[in-house]
Amino acid sequence: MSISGAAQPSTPSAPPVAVVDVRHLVKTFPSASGTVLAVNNVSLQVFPGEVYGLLGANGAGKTTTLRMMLGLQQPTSGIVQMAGFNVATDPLEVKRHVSLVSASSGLYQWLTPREMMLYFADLYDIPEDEAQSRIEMLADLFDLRHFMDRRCAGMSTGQQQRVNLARSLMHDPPIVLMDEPTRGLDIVGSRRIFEYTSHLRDLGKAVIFCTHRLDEAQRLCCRFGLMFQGQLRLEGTLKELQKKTGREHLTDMFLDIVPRDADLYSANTNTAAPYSQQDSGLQQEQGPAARKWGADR
Amino acid sequence: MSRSDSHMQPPALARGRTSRLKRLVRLARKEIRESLRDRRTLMTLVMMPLIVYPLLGLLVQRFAVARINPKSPEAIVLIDERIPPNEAAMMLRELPMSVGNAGLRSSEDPELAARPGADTGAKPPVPEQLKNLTQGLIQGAATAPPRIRIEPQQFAADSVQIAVRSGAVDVGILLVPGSSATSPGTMQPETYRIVCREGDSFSERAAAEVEVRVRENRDSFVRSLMERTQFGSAPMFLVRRLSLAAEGPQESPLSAFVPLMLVLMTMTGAVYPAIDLTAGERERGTLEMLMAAPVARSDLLIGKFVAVFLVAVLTAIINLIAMVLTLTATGFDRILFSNGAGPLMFVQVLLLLVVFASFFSAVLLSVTSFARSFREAQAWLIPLMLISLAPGILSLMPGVRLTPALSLVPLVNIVLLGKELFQGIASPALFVLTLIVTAGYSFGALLVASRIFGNDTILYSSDLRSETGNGRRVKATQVPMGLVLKCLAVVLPALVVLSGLRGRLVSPDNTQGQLLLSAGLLVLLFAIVPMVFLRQANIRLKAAWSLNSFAWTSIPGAVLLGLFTWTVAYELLILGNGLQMWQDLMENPALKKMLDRLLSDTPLMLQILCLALVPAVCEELFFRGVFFNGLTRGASRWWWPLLISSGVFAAAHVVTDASMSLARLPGTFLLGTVLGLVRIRTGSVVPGMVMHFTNNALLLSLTSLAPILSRLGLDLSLENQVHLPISLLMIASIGAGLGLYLTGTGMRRNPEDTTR
Repeated sequence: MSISGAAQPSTPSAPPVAVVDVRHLVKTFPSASGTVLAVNNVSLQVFPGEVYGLLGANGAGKTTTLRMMLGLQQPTSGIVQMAGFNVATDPLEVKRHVSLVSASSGLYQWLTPREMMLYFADLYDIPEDEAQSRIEMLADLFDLRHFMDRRCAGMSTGQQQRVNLARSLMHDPPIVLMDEPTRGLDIVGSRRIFEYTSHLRDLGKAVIFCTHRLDEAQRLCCRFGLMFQGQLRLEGTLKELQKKTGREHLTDMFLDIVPRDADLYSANTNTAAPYSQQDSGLQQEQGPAARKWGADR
Repeated sequence: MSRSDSHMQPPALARGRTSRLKRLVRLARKEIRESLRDRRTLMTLVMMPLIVYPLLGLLVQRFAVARINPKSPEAIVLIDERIPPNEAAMMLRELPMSVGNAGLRSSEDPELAARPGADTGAKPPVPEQLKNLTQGLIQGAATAPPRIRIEPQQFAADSVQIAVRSGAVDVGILLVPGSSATSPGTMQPETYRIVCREGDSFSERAAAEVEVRVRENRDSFVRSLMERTQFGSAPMFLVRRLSLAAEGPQESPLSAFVPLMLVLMTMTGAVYPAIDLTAGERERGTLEMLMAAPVARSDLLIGKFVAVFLVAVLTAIINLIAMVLTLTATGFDRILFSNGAGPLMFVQVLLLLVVFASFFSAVLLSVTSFARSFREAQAWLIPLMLISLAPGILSLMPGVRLTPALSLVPLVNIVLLGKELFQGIASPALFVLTLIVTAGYSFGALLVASRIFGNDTILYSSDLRSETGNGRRVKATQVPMGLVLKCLAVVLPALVVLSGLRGRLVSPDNTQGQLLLSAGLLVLLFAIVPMVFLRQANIRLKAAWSLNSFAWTSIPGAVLLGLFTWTVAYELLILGNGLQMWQDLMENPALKKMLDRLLSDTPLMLQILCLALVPAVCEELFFRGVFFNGLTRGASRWWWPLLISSGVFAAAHVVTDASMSLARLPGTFLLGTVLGLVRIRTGSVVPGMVMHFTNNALLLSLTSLAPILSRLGLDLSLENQVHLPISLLMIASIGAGLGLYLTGTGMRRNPEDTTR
């Protein structure tokens, strides 16, 4: 497995069939201060063997989009087709063909990796003998052999991460959704994620890679979608985007679509602001409208 | 990661379709395995009962010893008025000999007197010290003969018997006059009847002691008489013992405490796995993986339910065993299982606990599914546990028995039934009914849990806040349900506590101060506190309070409703007063007197300000404003917020005005419903204020106008309970109908009002 610099977009020989097909996705949330438009008319397609980078700041709506793709959250409107199945009408089939890798997912502390993988094999209706051989194969692939029968509670972070990645491949899904998979990982952990993603691409899987780290996305993804305030503002391969915006790096492109006075980082988001080149005192939670209202009171 | 990726299989593995049941079993097996491997579950499962029961047994023993060590308690003897007091005193003089010897001459039950304090049943002999302990625990008495105290006042024979039966006194002495016979053989001698309470061993022992003394005294009297006269051979007195059935069953406090303990321990056993398998999974980030798997949410929930349920049942079994062992070891089993404890009883108790475990597991799962983290789940569970304790305590009260109605009340039915099973007096029909009802409740709770568990709005509720920061704001006018609940959680308890303190803060004699204080309380709790909450959540006050514009016709409509709604409320109040049960339960004469004084001592204008204007404004802002709006957002039917807000409105009034008792509930509920209707129809809270004010002001004036009204033939004092004249009721209903109509006419659609 090689870690290529800037990934090349896949060039399918036959007319490409999008394995992920999202059309006009909208999600609104009721919140303490009214209704919030979290995802605003997002449409995107991803093809087999392609790594699609869904990029944006925290709270841009990336995770919500992913969850709606998997049927974990109901869209307010819009259509999601995954591997030919509609999420709204066939949620279980969709889940059968999709895997979710998230930085926040954990392990069952009191089970061993083997028990846990068997449990997930069960959840995905994989027959036991097939599950056993698959576990052996994944244990080799992710180098889990020597702790397959130890409880997860005593494992290191790296080991837990490997178990989690192996677990996500148990059912051999054609689509893998990765939600900020490198969050909180050190260099070795991040590198493992990159290798894993490249590996998936080589296997011909469609991968959606959500991250706010544009540098790592630029190295890894074939195509990019830049989200801001729930909307997909820019989409295309790196070359297309460079042509469209006249900028060399994703970071610059992103800063271009963000208005200078935008409320990019909400006050309760504790992540550091990696692209912020300005500190214009905009960290107030409510934005200009609320501040105006606040002055009224 | 090893770098060999050539043998990855092609996508979409051939998948076997295992049967749903098989899969459910496997899902449950994983949850159980996970739970049982957790040391904390094992702690509550095994260690707790093994420690708690012996400890409790020890404590109870100590407690029993403490009650026995002091000198034996006095037995109170009530004497028939036909016996001269000085003679009675002489008869009951303490004997030089101990009772144990004298008791041999007891007329009916020599066994009892010979072995003072022994059980009457044919049970194996119990070690003496333990026997004392157990006896002391039930009756608070020792085996030493009770000391006798004569009640100075004497009563007729009937009253003496009643007093003994009720337990007011321990022993009664009756004198049945003799009859002088025509022939010497049929002469009936005077008989002293020693009355005791059947089954009450203290009363029985005291009666034995009294009997011995009386017999001894009469015998010596007769002997001396015969020595002096050398005349007559028939005994001149008879002493007989009479046992009266006690009123109400004798019960040991243990028999209620032990089932409650079992139930509480079963609950404790279920708590940890329930939290761990829901909120715990969410906290660790495994729940999302589960949700991403192609399994129906309900299947996952059933797996979790089975696990929690099994752990709870295991806890119940271990607790039952530990309890039985402790009771046997300490000898308390003989007290507790007064009617013999067969294996059947334990099976029944276990069955009860199993059904309860299923119910409580389902309730727990629906509560913990809300929580985002372990700590949050624990915070949610504390109120649940407190709520569960209240009915448990109720069942601890002696004399409370399971009725068909009570067997419908969850938890109460279980504890009461457990108590009666231990006493051997449980009705089989109620046993079955309780099992069925509880199983039904479990099913209902499970349905609720399946709607909550993994629900996406709940699952991702924690993310909303971070999303809202960057999302586009559409409106900022709606009141979230959570805020309303938080607000209620502060306002209602504060209302109860502060209105209770009202009398302490300002002297009850200072009636004007009282009025102003209660008005201030309303402003604070129903206006200022919600305002603070709303401001914190950054919600527009005007929208949250529904201070919207309204059609002018709604004002006369509201006035009409205010003028006439009270008639129906008044009729309901009279109906409610008819329910003496409520009245007796809740009546607080002192408070009522104070209220009456409050109303007669203060100027009418001050009354109208404090009891009409301020409540109308503040209560409307809260109940028909914030509360109503919060409910409206979560409700699927338009009448839900109406009913709930009226219910809480009525409850708040009952809680604060204990003098008015529950009888006021239906009337206040009706008023709240009409006010809610006005709020819905006008889209604003202001017409409701007008109606509320009119209603209250009118009622206050009615109290002042009562003398004039009664001259007109209208008697409105509740003591007399007179229904209103039909003519007035008809006018009132026409007026109210017109009012309701007017509030709905000419209204324009208010875009901000979500209720329409």
